[in-house]
Amino acid sequence: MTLRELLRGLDGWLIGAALGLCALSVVTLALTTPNLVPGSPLYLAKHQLIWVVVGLVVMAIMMWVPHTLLRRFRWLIYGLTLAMLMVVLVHGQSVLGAQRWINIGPFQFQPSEFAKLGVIIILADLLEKKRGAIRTLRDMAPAIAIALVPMLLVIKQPDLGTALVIAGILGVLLYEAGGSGWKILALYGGTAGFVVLLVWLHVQAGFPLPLHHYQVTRLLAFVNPNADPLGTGYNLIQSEIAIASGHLTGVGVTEISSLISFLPAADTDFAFASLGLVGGLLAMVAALGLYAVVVGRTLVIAHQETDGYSSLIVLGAAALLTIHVFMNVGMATGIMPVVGVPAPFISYGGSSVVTDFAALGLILSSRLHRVHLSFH
Amino acid sequence: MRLGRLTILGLVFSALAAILLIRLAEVQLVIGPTLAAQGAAEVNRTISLTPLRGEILDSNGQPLALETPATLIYVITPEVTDAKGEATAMAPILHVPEATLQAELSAQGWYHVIERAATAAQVNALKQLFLPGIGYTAEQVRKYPDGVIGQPVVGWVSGSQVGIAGVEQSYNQILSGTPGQAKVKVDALGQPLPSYGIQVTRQPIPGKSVQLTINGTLQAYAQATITADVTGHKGTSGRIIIMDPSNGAILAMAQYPTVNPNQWQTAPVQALANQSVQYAYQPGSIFKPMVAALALMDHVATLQSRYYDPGYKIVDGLKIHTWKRNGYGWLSFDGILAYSSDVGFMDLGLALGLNNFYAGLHLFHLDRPTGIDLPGEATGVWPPLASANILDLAEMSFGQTLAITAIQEAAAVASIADGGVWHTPHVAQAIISPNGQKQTLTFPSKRILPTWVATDEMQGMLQVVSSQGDAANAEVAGYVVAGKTGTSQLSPRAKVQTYMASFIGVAPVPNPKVLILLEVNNPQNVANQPGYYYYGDQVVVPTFPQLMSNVLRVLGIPPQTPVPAPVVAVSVPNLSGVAVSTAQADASLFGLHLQVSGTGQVVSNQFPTAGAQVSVGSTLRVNTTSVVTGQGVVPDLLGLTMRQAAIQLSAVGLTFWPHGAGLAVSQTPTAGTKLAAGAPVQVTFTIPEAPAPTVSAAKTARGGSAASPAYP
Repeated sequence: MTLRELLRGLDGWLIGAALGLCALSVVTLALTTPNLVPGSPLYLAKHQLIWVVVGLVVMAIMMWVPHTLLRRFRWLIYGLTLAMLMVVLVHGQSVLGAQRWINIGPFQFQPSEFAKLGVIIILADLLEKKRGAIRTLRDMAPAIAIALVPMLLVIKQPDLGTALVIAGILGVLLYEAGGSGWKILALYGGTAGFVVLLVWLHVQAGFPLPLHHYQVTRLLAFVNPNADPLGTGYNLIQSEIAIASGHLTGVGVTEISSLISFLPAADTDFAFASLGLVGGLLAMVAALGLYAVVVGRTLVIAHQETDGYSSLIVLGAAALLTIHVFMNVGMATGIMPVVGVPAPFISYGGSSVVTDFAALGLILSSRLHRVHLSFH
Repeated sequence: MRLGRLTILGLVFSALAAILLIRLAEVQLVIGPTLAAQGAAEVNRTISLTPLRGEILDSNGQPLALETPATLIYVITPEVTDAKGEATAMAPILHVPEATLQAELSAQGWYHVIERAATAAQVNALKQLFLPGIGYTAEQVRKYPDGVIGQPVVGWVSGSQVGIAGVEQSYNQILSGTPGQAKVKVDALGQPLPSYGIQVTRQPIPGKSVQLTINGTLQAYAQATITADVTGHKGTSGRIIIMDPSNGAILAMAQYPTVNPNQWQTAPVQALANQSVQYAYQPGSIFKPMVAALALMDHVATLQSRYYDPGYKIVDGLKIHTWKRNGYGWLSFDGILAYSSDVGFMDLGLALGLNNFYAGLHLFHLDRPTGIDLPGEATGVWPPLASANILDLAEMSFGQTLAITAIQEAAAVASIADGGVWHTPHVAQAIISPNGQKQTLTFPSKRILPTWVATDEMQGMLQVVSSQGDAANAEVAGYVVAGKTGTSQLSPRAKVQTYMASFIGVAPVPNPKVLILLEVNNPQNVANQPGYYYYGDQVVVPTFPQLMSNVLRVLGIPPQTPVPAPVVAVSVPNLSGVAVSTAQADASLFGLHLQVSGTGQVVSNQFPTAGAQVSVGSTLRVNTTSVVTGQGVVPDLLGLTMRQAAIQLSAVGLTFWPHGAGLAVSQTPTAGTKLAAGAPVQVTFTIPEAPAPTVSAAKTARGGSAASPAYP
């Protein structure tokens, strides 16, 4: 495959929207973190730019690799994913109480981000084989089991957000493979209800839960953030204050540096709130529009896809991005619990940005190889 | 089918997007204003701008308290990554123990002040280290350049720069100025954001400076004196007030123990109070001048009155013994003051009666604060008039049973010294605005005694410091001094007696310009003197003459009678065998006049003889011989210093050619050689291992020594 063919495989809308989001990210980082590293006001912005470039390279590699190759090595990929998650639990780097990173040379690497891709690759195969034959809960069981192993491993980190993302991807793929929408909804609704019951029992009667205390309090803070405005509800209130303070077009540089100091994880989990502070409603709506372009174009590509496996891969990637956006923006605006899911292309961080571009690579690979095939 | 599912997924995704949009709009537009206001409240702060605090100056304009720029160093504990490492790095710069720093860096909470007054050098050194979590804020801190000198008058400020002792407290309003206001934007830690700057809405008005009547030189001298007096007698505390009796200005007020105001936080509690103003003591005999003045004024006594002191007095059926067990027999009015006859004063007090006595307390401002411009003035303690009995009156008449402050005592005696006018004691003389405008302070004065009473009373006090009086040792050469000794029982009913030894004196009489009150509490018999050793005339009187004469000299008050030059004893040097010219130089070095008899070049003998003690300026007579005219015999110079060798050679009329330095190790020609007069003798000197003897050692070698000046 030549570079020309590779370039022809690029989807202008998709790449353009993604790079647009990256641009918003870099500008926001430049404006919100001038004092993070003394003497280097653009430290995070520059690093994010480097990660975008790395992400583009990874995207190109993912494009070049045909889905059939990924499918052949799916168990290896899945095994590596689980292995990395276990390494994190044993040797991981602890940040703010959560063990999510492993150090590779000078880089910190967050395997849970890549785990999402690994789960998509193996689930697509499993569900493609069962396409149209997923009627009962028992039919869904192998896919649920496959997804549950990495979910439990990331919950142990603890990283509730990634577990919820994987669950979301699983649901979308089950549905696309022909599962009954109502049954899937019943499954998820039932599980959610069961969890709510357990939390309620935990709070009311001290029922033991395999969740960390902070995870429980975060879930509760989501219900009523003002119950503890300086504790667990603090993040959420500050996030909403940042969004509200941005008004239509954002605030000036001084107000940014002042207000941003109140916002925790302003460059990562609450990057969308930072964007709102810097660029106001206009920037946030623009970002949502760009996300809509990315997801919309992905659905179109999935629709054009003739191969069932590839179509599941593309939809899985679309689900990943969509769930990330919904959970992150929902978290920033107080309609989702604070679970620490990055906003695609906007949150600072190598693992997250590279994963997002890898997902784009998975999507574009489908398009590229389909086009390639049609000419031969 | 596939299209359907994708469409449904697309619809689901669209629904999610719609939810987000609606929620965004809600957060922004519906609850937005409330949230934005909440955000603004977090960020916008009105801060108070601290004005520059005024200085406290001594009477010569030297600052005793001033503002210096400093930096406050704080730590945001959650940002500290390595408390131990940072503590190790900071400890040598801040001179704080590493363990203390480490504890502060890892303490609970967000924000801690590590150092309130760091110097620029310390801050620069720390900033080089880029320590995470360490921050800096510019501040003004109060500095007291002279430390303990100035206490307890100057006082000190709290951590928030509010005066909490001394002049800092009593003039706090004037010193602190008016705070300004400014708007700032702060970050989550409450630190103003430099990018926004400070929008000043009201400029701070700097505080005014206060110029004291305190003379820095006298204050330092008083501090050294009281420290030596208290520690020298192993006392527990002591105080000196130096005052101008003609206007009430305090020229010095010192005490021991005292406080370094730069570190008042770590000072022992008993050092913090102003003993002269905040504590009342039973005054003892230094209270008697006021009783005597009242007796004269109320015509219950005259200068011609006579009193019989058998050593005790029976009052209300109770026999009160006085410290002089056998009494003094018959005494004049001046005599009862001069000898401090308690019996005589009981007679005066009983003659006055309770009402007159209490009216007298009021007259002398002894029953209420003097109104001195220092905080926390005590009022004193006395039995209430309604319940006081004759016994109380008898004891109060010689200064027991009631307690007054040192400043009350000083002001009362000053009123007698100033011809009957009582002046409000005060430590400040002027307020100086930042633009240099000076506003002189005035304090009320009031005539309380007729002039003749004050004059007669001073006559009595002069007798105290006369050769017959208690305090004959208090005489000051060249000046007429009046005064009174005191020895009071601080707690008469306690098992173990404690005493206060005191002396109050004024000079020059008439028209005294200086009043000195000296008090030492609980002095001990350090010198193992026979008998008791806590009396005022034993403990504080010996200190007084030198203190008073130096105070008068510093203030430039000329002596009333010529003062004889101080006599210094020296021991006469041995000049025999020395050339006359050298003898002249030596004699003048010892401060002696040389009277030479004869025309010889070498001293043959002398009077007084070597080693005799004479006073400086005495005449030393020497006879000369002319041993050498044509030739001289070379003396043995080995081992001598250069000076000794020169003396020896000049004595025999030979020329000295020295080489090197130190002690003579060789000479040419050798000893015993006869040479023509004026012929050169070459001597080589080298520095020995031990230091070479000095000039004074050379003198000693000839049997004389310059005694250190000893004032008798």
